[in-house]
Amino acid sequence: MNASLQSIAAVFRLELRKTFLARRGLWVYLLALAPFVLFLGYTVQNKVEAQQRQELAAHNQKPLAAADFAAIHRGMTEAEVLARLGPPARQFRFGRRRRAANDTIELRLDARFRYSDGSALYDIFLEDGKVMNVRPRPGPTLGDVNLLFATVFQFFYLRLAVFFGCLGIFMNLFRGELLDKSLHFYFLAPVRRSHILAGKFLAGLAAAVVIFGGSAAVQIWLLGRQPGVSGLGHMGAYLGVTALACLGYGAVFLAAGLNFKNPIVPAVALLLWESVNPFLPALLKKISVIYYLTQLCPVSVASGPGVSPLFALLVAAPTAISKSAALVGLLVVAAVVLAYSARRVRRLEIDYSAD
Amino acid sequence: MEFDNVSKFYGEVLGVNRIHLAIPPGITSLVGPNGSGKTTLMNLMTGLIQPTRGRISVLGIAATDPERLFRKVGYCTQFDSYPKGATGRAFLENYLSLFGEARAERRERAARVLERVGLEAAADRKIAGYSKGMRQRIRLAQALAHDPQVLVLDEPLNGLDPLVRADTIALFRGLGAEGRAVILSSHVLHEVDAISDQVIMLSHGYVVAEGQIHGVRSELRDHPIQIRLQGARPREMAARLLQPEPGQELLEVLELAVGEHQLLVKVRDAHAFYLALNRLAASGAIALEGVAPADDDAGSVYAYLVGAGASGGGAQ
Amino acid sequence: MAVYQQTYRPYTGPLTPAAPRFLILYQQARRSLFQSKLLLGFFVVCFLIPLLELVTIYISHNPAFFHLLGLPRFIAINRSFFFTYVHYQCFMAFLFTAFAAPGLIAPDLADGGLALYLSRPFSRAEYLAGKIAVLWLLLSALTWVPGLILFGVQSDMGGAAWRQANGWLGWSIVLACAVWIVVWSLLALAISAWVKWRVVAGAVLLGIYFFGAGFAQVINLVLGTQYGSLVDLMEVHLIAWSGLFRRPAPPLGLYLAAWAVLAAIAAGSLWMILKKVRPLEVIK
Repeated sequence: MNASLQSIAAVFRLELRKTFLARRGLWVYLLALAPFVLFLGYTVQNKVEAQQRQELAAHNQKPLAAADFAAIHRGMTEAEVLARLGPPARQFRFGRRRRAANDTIELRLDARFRYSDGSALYDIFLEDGKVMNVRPRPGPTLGDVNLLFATVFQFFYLRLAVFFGCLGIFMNLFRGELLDKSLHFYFLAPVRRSHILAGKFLAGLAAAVVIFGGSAAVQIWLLGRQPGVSGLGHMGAYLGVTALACLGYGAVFLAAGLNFKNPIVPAVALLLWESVNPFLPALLKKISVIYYLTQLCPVSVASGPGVSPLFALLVAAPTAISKSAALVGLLVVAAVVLAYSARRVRRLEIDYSAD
Repeated sequence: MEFDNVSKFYGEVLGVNRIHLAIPPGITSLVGPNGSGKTTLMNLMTGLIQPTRGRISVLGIAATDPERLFRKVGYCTQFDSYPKGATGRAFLENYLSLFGEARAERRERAARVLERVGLEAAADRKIAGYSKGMRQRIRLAQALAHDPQVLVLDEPLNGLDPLVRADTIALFRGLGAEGRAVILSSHVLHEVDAISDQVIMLSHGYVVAEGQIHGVRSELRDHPIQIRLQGARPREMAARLLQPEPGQELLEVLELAVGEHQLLVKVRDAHAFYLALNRLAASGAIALEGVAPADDDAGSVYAYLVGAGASGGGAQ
Repeated sequence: MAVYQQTYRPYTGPLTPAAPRFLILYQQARRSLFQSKLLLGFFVVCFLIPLLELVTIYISHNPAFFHLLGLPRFIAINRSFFFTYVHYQCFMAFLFTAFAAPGLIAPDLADGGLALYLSRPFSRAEYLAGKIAVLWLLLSALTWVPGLILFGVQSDMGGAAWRQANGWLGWSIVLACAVWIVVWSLLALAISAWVKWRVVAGAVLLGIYFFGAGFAQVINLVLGTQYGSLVDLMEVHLIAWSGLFRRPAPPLGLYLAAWAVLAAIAAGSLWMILKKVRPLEVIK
């Protein structure tokens, strides 16, 4: 191993332990854990509902099929429903507050009947004894789970969990050392400043990829274990996009930590910039991380059913480019930002007084 | 170590200005009160800050080339902070790992330097639990760990108790005697006399004098010099100096202070005074037991150069 | 006689009243906050929304304007208008809090400044009152004070009929903003006290706001519930304010849960602050 690689590896080794075990960065694990806990809840819910579908279907006085429920429409009376479907396996009656025209709150008695035909649960909502809504709740299909994960991955995981996680990990690499007044220990070693940057960045990247990639992998594994779903695909693609997100956001936040005494300012600016990305002109779109990431995601959320137009606009890039172009684009953005950081760190002067 | 017309400004605030220096091997002290530019000069020579103007090189290596510079230079800073949770030994071993040394070599070097600064018993305790003096010594150990040719030490005696202080001064002397360049800063001037081969005196960011302390003093020809005369009868000696025998010339004495067994004399022309004193002593007019300059220490020289007011509260 | 008894003369002059002494901290903290030109600039920018609302109110009462543009009078100044104002203005005030609050307690704890304050005749309560006063006064200036001015202008221009129908809105504005100020300022100070590093404390506040909002959406999406909104602090406020602004009522359980969440956050934050702001610190 040549001297440059040796010094980068030495910095990497020292930083890796610090990055994984930093008390200041424990909340990053919570960010990664949050969607896992959510999908765990989803799995439990699906298992309970699958069991419920079978149990409730056994309560039906006569065999029911989807067509029976399709015949139930808004405005039908409770008696008509009972005549058509028989008594519900479960019913809930509850009071609901509603603001009346004269600004007073009135309490209305509502009801929910739950039936099952064995393949789906049906919730029939009644208000003052009349049907307001029929909501079928079939068990999730592979397509549903795929779309659900893609939505959560693009809208929440990349934009918020990985974003804030990388903020915590990468800003801490230099700004944390300045806060602790310990950066001079690296600067007093016979290591080129750009090698210190490289070692620190790689350590941060390794930690971010392990934490967020690991969480994504567990989420995909968990979602693949829903009743009636045999394994969720695209694991490799999602892990790749997660790693690229860590690379892109990592490069940006490392630069922010080097350049700003209070990195909250660039963090807010970047969050807003990434959020308004779909509304930006084509050229400006390309100067962002989320633009390339959404292009690389294996499942397009906008194409899924039940997605609101505004939400679809947020999660999809309207001017599609090829995956290879997106990959190159992201790597170029990261490389440019890292090159700028390397230049900045070479000129960085130790000044702890302002922190 | 060479400074070629080096200036450093922090915005509009002057750090140091127009520094031309060549620091030879041996122990060199940077002397000056707080805020005079000592730490700025040290940070400049180790590349922690960059000069606004001018060039700095250490053993022919630019201060902006840490990869080569810190193989030859060790810097003991005043920053009193350490990586979280590190023990003294781990701190040094981690630092040495950045030099590309193998684990066994790192361990051996760390153990050796811990012993040298007297911290071997506390080596496996966390630095966060160290006393002020121990923290100072672990910083010193870090600067010494890779056996550098040039040592830059910012206020290295701060916080040390008298015994450790004496040991540390002996350590510096030893390092200087080995032919290394030891550059240390201090605002405790009497200490500087005891340690240094040469001094660099700073005031408000400017170098006001450099060289061996006695040489600097002798350059101050226009400033009166104080001489301590030792003898059994100082009052009689004072009378003889002020009222010479007929035929003897009158000495130009500016001030006289009579002490127990000694007389302090302040004169403008030291050379003429010593000649006249020789004649008086040879004639038996005064019983002289000893003569020594009383103000060619760093403190006096600094006070003469920058004035008592300029020396501020830091210079002692 | 001891030497100090011969020379020592304690101060016997007049003292300032003890009660408002905590305001010294307020003045000092306010000065230090506004030394940052960025923060001062942002504070000024926060008044853009009230200014726009003021112009809107004026235009809405100016038939000539609509006539000139050939437009119908589409602007209605009603409860929704003031609800929207409080919503957006509180978001701006949140951003201001995220920048300003972490610098209030964190540096005192990180640099050992708390011991200096509390070793004077200055109690823990006075210290906290001084720090909280900074946020309460500045956030009041950003939220309900301009809100009341807008309400006053509208009351004047809208005439007696509007005043009679919407007079209660003034209280709603003040109460909604007061709830927001109490909850967020306590939470921000608690984070400032526990995190110690102001930069990290600011990041945590931002995370709570934005991450919470996103997480609430995905909880609702994945689990098919509305209760996920309870982890979105802004949404929690909106649900709680629906009663104050007499808006369409959310489910009773959600409404009560929103108030419970706000109360729990305020109480929990106060507990966290009291736990940290102490005249002694155990250093491990």
